[in-house]
Amino acid sequence: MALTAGLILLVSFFILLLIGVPIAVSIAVSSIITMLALFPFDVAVFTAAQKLVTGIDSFTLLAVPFFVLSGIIMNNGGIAIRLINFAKMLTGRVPGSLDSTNVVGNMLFGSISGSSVASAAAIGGIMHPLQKKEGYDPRYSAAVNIASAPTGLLIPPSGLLIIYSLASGGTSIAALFIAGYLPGLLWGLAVIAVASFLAVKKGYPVSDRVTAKQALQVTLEAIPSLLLIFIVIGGIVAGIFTATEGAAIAVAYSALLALLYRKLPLSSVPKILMETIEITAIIMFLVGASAILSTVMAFTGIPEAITNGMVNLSDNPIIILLLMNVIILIIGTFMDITPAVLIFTPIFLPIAVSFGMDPVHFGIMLVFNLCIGNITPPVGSSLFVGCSIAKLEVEKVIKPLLPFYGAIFIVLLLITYIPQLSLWLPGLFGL
Amino acid sequence: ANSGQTLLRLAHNQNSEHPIHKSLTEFSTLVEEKTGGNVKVVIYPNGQLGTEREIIELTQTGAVDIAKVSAGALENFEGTYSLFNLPYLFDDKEHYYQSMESSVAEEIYGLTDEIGFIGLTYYDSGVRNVYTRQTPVMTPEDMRGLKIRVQPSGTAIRMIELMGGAPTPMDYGEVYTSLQQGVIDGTENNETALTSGKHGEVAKEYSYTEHSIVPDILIISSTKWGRLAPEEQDAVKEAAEESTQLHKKLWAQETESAIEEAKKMGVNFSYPEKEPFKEAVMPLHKQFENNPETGEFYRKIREEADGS
Amino acid sequence: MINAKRMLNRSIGAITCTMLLVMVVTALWQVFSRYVLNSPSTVSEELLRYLLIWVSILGGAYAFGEKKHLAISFFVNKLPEGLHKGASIFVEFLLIGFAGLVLIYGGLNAVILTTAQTSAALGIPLAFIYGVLPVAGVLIIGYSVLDLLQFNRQESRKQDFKQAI
Ligand code: NA
Ligand code: NA
Repeated sequence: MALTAGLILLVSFFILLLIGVPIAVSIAVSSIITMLALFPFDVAVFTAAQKLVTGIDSFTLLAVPFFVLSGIIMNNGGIAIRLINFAKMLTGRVPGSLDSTNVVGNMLFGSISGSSVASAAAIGGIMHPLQKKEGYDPRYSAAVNIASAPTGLLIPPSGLLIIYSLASGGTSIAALFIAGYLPGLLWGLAVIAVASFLAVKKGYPVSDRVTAKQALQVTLEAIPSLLLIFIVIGGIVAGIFTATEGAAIAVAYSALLALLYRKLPLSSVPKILMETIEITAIIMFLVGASAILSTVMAFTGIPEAITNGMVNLSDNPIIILLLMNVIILIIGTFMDITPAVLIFTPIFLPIAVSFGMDPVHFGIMLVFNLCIGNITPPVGSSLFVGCSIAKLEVEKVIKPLLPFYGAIFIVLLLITYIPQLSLWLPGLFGL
Repeated sequence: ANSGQTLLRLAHNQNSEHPIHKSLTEFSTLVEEKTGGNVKVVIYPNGQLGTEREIIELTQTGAVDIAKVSAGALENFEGTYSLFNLPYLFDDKEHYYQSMESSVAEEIYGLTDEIGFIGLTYYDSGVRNVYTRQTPVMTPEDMRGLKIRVQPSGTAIRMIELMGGAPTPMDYGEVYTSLQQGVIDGTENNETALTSGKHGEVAKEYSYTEHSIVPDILIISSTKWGRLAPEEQDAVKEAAEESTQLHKKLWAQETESAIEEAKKMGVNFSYPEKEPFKEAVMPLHKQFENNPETGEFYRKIREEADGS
Repeated sequence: MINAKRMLNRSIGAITCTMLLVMVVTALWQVFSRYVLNSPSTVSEELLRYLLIWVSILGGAYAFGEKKHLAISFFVNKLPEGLHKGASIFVEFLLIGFAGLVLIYGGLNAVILTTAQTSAALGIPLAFIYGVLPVAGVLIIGYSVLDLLQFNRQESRKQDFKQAI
């Protein structure tokens, strides 16, 4: 049964996807078609309707609209330039320092905004003119900006890790958040390493030394923005509020900050709210549709069949993990991260756990892997936005991106095979 | 498979190591034996088909045929089931078993026939007690100001209020981290939550308030039930009741080993006097006695206790 | 037609934006009542979950109208114009079918099934929760029909243009 059902599901899903049917609807419709092999029409349709709603019925998921909203408020709040100045101070003496500033800027901004796309646009938009003035090759600058844009999806707070927590059946969000720090940092460092190696070859300049007074001023200006991370993550770890509630605190704090900076006119509020609702609804429709999918898979025994198939292929965890990574990488090149997390978690997590892998470690590996797809052709939102902000065609940045893909892939392997990179820090906090 | 075979899909939300899964597996085996293979039960564990509320709805519509759910989850479908959330409804285990195996339970099982399912049997799901991070709860005064997580149920919220604590409705998935980080001070559940939910790692004081005994109920879709031949119905009913007896033993063993393991985790067990807690929740008893949905059954169950 | 769409957008926007603001305030109240007042709110958790469902599904209808749901257009964009347009029309009809059968028909079944069920903390009928499905279904069909009419008009304008030359 599993094989036939799996085939019906897979074939109908890909046909719908290729025709251009929205991913959420493709998931829902192919699931219903598969269900018709088991149940009368009425039962199948009721089950789908029920799962679409109950899939969203989760307190954990509330963090998504809240983090999205606080991110959008922060984007409007003029904090990008303050964070860039701070990043510049940290990276000034690295060869090709403006590239490194771009990377650190993406890490800081992405951490707060939780959006790789917003980060690529905001940080790249400010950095590219500066880089050009200093004689940097625009194609390389764009590649650096694109390559480092997804770091904020790993560095907490991260809506993706919340989605994973849900899909994995309740892995601790606090643990996932803390676990995301090192991998996100390593990703950023890998990009800096490649960029500065190339900068030496290209003879890019190093920035002027900053005086202590400048450093102090720059730091003071960045502190209110950076405080958001401290308050949210600190509050979660200290037990003042749950991760979900922390997201609402982030909204309140970012609104307060925007008011102080006078960057939040009342007239902009409806637009900000509407943008939040749109992004939330897109994600939630995917979550609901995936709930239909996982129910159908349970009814037909597809996950067990895949597990058995993979275990029969090899019983060596190293090979299985590599195989998983390759499959996820391929799918990730053309599929967005959220639906991919929702689809892959229930299929691959049980296999990973059967090899003794920690669900926190698996989640970080999965999200890290899918973030790579975010910057690769044919479909990658950060790639597209990074190119459009640099006013370059996608084809122009692919070659400059290649060394970065290589470095990030090596980090992916490290994260896959060294659990401590994900688990050491949460362990330190007793999570 | 022969063409006359009936397939029954059974859903529950515990993992396959849990004693209830073993008891349900036994139920499945017994059904097959007793019907000479004509009726086959396939089990979907782990909540893979949804939460208890969802699988009850799926049983009503026919995607699921049999479901094992907590009586607490049935409360929102049939008000009478809220009776089982009433603290100190049962005096002790004997009273509990006696009531659940009497005609009162059978009457309740039939109430939901109109909305698409009936009860088959019950399973022991332990006695619920209060446990906290640091302070043992010996008297209602000890509960004062403590934030106690409760299941999102009106009765449970009112109960903790009456017992003196601050009820905090929260998703089960958030309980471990919330105990660990001190978002809440405690929660209430049976002993196995200390080990299977790892709560013993973060909550060190388990106090036997023994405030409620909430059975699990095995329900079957009315439509499916009606399609079974009378002798198949008998076989299913017998198999269900036999698995209930087996489950009593399995559950007792599970509780025992959970206590042993929790002690190794450093959990301290204390035994408060129950009378003050009983007195505290008496307003709830009044309420259930006066409620037309529960009054009759409340009196029948209480009479058995007072008569014995 | 553009006006009809704008009206739909405005109505959904007003409702969902209000709900989102209520959600933010409720979540903050939940933290405040527990951490500061030491008397946790017993209804906030459920209210938040139900508002999220409404905001998501209603907002989802709006996102269908705005063509913002994630889709893979990479392959369709490579098709010749005629096929591309055929695919777009097929997608609209599929959406109408999905909205009609799953959201309206399946959703109404769920509403009928759950009229007697009450929610645990707020005590409201669960039918209210599932009720968002048929509402969204009607809205999605509305958007799709407007889009199909729009297609049709563009087509006839092209015809006129051809006749003119
Ligand atoms: Na982030
Ligand atoms: Na990609």
